[in-house]
Amino acid sequence: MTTLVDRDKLIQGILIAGFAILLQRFLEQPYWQVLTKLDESITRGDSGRLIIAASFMVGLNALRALPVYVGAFRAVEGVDSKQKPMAILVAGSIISLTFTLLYLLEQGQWEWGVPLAVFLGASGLFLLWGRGVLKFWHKVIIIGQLLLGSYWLAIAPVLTPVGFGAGELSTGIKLAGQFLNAESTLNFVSVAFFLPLITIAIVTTGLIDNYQKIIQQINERKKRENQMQRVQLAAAEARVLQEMHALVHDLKTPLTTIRGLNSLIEMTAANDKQAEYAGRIEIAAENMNGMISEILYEDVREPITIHSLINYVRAQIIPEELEQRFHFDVGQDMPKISVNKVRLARALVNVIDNAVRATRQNVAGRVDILAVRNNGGVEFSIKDNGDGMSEKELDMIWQPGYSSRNSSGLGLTFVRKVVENHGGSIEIDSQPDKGTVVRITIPDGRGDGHD
Amino acid sequence: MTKILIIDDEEDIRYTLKEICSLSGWNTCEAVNGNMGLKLFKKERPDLVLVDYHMPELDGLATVKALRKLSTEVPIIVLTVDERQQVADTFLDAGASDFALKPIKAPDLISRLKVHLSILKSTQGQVEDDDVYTVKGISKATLKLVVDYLKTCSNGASIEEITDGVCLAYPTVHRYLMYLVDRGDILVQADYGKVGRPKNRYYNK
Repeated sequence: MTTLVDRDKLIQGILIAGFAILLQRFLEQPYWQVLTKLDESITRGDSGRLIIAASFMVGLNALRALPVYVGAFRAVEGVDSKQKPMAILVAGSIISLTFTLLYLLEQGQWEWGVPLAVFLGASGLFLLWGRGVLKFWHKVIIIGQLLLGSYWLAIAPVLTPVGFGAGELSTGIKLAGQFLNAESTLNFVSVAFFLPLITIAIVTTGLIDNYQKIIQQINERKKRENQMQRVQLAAAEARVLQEMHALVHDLKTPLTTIRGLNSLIEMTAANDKQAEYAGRIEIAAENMNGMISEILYEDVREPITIHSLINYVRAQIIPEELEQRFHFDVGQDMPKISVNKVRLARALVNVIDNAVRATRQNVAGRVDILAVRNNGGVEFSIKDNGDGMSEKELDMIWQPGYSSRNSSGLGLTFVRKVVENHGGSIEIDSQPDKGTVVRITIPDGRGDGHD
Repeated sequence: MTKILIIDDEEDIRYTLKEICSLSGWNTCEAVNGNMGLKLFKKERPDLVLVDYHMPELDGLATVKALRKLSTEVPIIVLTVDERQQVADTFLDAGASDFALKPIKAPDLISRLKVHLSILKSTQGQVEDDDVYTVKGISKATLKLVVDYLKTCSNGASIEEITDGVCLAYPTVHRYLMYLVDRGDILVQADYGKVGRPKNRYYNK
């Protein structure tokens, strides 16, 4: 049963309904006003004042009853939308209990006609028509309209036999009407207010319902568009990668020629020096070949010391006139790790670039790059004291296409891909205006436990 | 004089190959694609063919198949950057004799070509054409080369050692070893070395 009812909403509903009892205290004075006006109408024989007294009473009754219904239908929001009988039961019991309490406190007469009419009207509108699209405030407005309309029924003498207007004041107004010979006027006024107000309530419900549905459609369309954009972006990324792949692959052909002819020179070298040069050229060409392989194939790994990796990264940081202070710190006794040097370095440079951008406006901008041992692997942390990000931004940064500076938004997605491909992990901590720390952990990469 | 046909669409690669061959005293003729290569093959009757894998107009694989129809015994060596065994098997099935993996290095290529030229010499005239291939992708002469090498290794040999010893490409050696193991001609034993995964060592029975 607990799954059928949301307890928070139920409690909220009961509290709102209970507010009606508090409100009762403040409405005593205005209710006296009604009685005064009623007296005046009788003493002066003025049925106009009677109508004014009646309007006053209707307004006050509606105001007093508003929290009861609002509370009841708030509680119903917590009921599973498929459980309609259950919803009606919850609303019905809250309304009848609150009213019973109210009348007991007031020692008044139980009047069931108007409350029942409003209850049925609201249930019909919300549960059968509104179908869950109505928001809380929409319900408050609609209930207000229903109440203002329905309480007019309480002053129609013709409806007294079927249970309308049994309360003290309503009875008073009706008696005064009898005394002033204005019963038919009361009947007429009652219907003349009831019908348009109820119609307005129904029309309002229809309009809000329609409006909500349009909003829903717009949101859905927006969601679809976002999704499409993401797909397009992924396709663009794939195309760029493919293009890059082809371009990089083309580098291998001239390299083949260089190494082939160089090996000929080495074989036929006229002297030792020439042979040495050729040897050096071969080493350089082989390094280049290795880099090309690392760019082309994610899984290509080579063992590397953290020092040389960091040096390789440092060499790639664009030495434009940087205001920020850089601080590199590589711990003692660092292990060698097996990584795709080109890709991992690119990922680190990417994160460092972000840190540089975040501290650009900062007078005392500072970027710390640390590498420490971590369970046989290495933890790199890139810390800046720049702009930082809010929690909302942090949630979004992993989505491809998100960018705080209108770039392609592929940066962090690439970083994560590289880190995950190395079996590592990445986490980001950030506080607005304090700065950001990115921690990247890379295992030693040898996979097995052999030393 | 030994003549080698080079089929590659890259001018620079053809030049490099030509220079390496001429250093060893071999003549060369060049074709820029598979179709031209086939024409030249019929005309020049080379002793050995070097074919590039990726080519416009009749790629390496189709060229190898077409060449094998023209001659069952001429050594065909495929130039490729792709080291995957799957690719190698496709070529060997099509009738290729061996691979020269890019990057091409003069000493390696020269010794590889020498091996195939000597295999060719030893088989020429001795065996019937139909008998050159025992099964698809396995040439008797090359098989003999591998088996003979294994006979000289009393302690067995790893696949890398065999590759160096017989001057054939790794994928080729792998293919022949698998064939020999399948037939039960040689033994395999896992060698738990110091680092990484165990390596297989192959022993002559």
